[in-house]
Amino acid sequence: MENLRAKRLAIPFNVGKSVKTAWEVSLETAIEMYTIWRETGIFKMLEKLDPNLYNVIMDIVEENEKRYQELYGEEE
Amino acid sequence: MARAKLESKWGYVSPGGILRYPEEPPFPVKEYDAHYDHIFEMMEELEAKGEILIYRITEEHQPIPVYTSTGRIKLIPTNKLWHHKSCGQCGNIPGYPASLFWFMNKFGLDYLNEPHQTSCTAWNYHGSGTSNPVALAAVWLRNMHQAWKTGYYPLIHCGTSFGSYKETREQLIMNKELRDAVKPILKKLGRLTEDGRIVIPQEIVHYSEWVHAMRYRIKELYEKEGKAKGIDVSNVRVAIHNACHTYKMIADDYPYDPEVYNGQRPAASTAVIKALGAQVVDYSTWYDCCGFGFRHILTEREFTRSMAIQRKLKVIAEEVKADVIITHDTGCTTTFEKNQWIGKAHGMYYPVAVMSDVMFAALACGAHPFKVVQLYWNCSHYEPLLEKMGITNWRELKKEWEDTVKYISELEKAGKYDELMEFFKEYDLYEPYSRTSTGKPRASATSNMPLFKS
Repeated sequence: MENLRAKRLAIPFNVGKSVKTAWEVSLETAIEMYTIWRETGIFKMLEKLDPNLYNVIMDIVEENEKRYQELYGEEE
Repeated sequence: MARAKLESKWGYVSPGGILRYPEEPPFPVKEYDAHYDHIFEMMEELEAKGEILIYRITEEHQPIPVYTSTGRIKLIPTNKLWHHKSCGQCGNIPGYPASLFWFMNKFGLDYLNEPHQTSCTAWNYHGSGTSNPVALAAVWLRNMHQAWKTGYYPLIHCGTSFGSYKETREQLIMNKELRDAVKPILKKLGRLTEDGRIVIPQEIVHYSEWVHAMRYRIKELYEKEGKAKGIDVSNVRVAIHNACHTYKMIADDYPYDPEVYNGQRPAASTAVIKALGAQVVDYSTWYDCCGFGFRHILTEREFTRSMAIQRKLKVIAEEVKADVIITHDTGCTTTFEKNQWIGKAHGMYYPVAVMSDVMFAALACGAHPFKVVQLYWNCSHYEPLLEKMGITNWRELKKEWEDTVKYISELEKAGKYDELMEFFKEYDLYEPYSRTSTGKPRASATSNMPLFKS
């Protein structure tokens, strides 16, 4: 699609101007979601179902968790 | 109110006030002992025991009462709403939430477009089973706690989120085991009240219920601003499709109204189209699913395609020759749109515009078809519908939007971010606003950065 990025920026609300996700989610919220998935066994379920997908997802999860620690680790 | 008799149900108000029946049945009601009434009574019991906090709808939320299929009064908050967005809408049909925000701006209503919101994860659950009741409950309660913390009442955009949350609420209220499993997780997240209770909203409200409750104000806006622009929907033939996840899941908890088949068919979406004066046309497969199905759209797509084309699109085109199919869920909208093109490839082409009730209503009330309703992202043929509605200058309006896109692109390529942010202050419907789980305003990790740089 031509000029997708500009077309997404033309969506008239702030969190919708994203080409990566449906809306821009805060890092803190993403970390909460990871905690829920970890505590409820969803990550373990995924690891058994599809190890390759699990590895890809955990790369993203661990990167974000590291970023979160760097940004907010001292405050906590 | 176990096994209530007919004569004791009408005029009943529960001790905590969240279960209410009118004095008289608003329309013929078949089931007199509604299973779902027990959920509300249990909620009040659990609150009295200190297990849960019911996030109540107050006068600040300007509630409007509607009826459910059992005649129960359901309060629909219309102001100070926390927008629980849909992944599919924001990703694929952004005019859907934009049209809703546009209406809220027009009516001067307060709302919060929350960035600190997770997906409901129901797509994931229905599509692949990669979830479980504890995870679904934890996600729901986490989001409801966030809404409660901000003081804004949750409004659910997606039909699937709505259905999933209604199911989860029933499971949670009826199963102590589930409550005990989810509480430690919420405690870890800081998502309990200070005295350790889980937060459950008084009602779970879908945006189509808000549109239904606001239909008379929407009609007034159409009369005042839409008609002034030459828009006229009186000749538009509208086929309504109600989403399975809104009215079939927890069927007791969705609006029914004397105006719509005397309470014998779900009222949301139909009533607002009737209020606008468009022609609601009935067809023989009204109650059929669109075919989306979550699981089988991934693994048995031909089932979805057959269902959508043969059971819905063909019937709507041949029986009633509708100008538009009105939906109120993300999956239904995309299924009807995409399957027109799939059908075309197989010599089964039934072209009809498809959009949600709020998008159609916004168009009728004069919203910009491309800047607000964002019709660009729709792939069904909406142009004949626009012509029929009297929006005959849609080509100029599309050019206007394309010039805006070009302007945005040029500013970004030139690195003029300050100028771009200034432009968005006028162009956007909503300024960024952020409260975190502590309830205090705090910059999120991306709040100081223009989002398109993160």
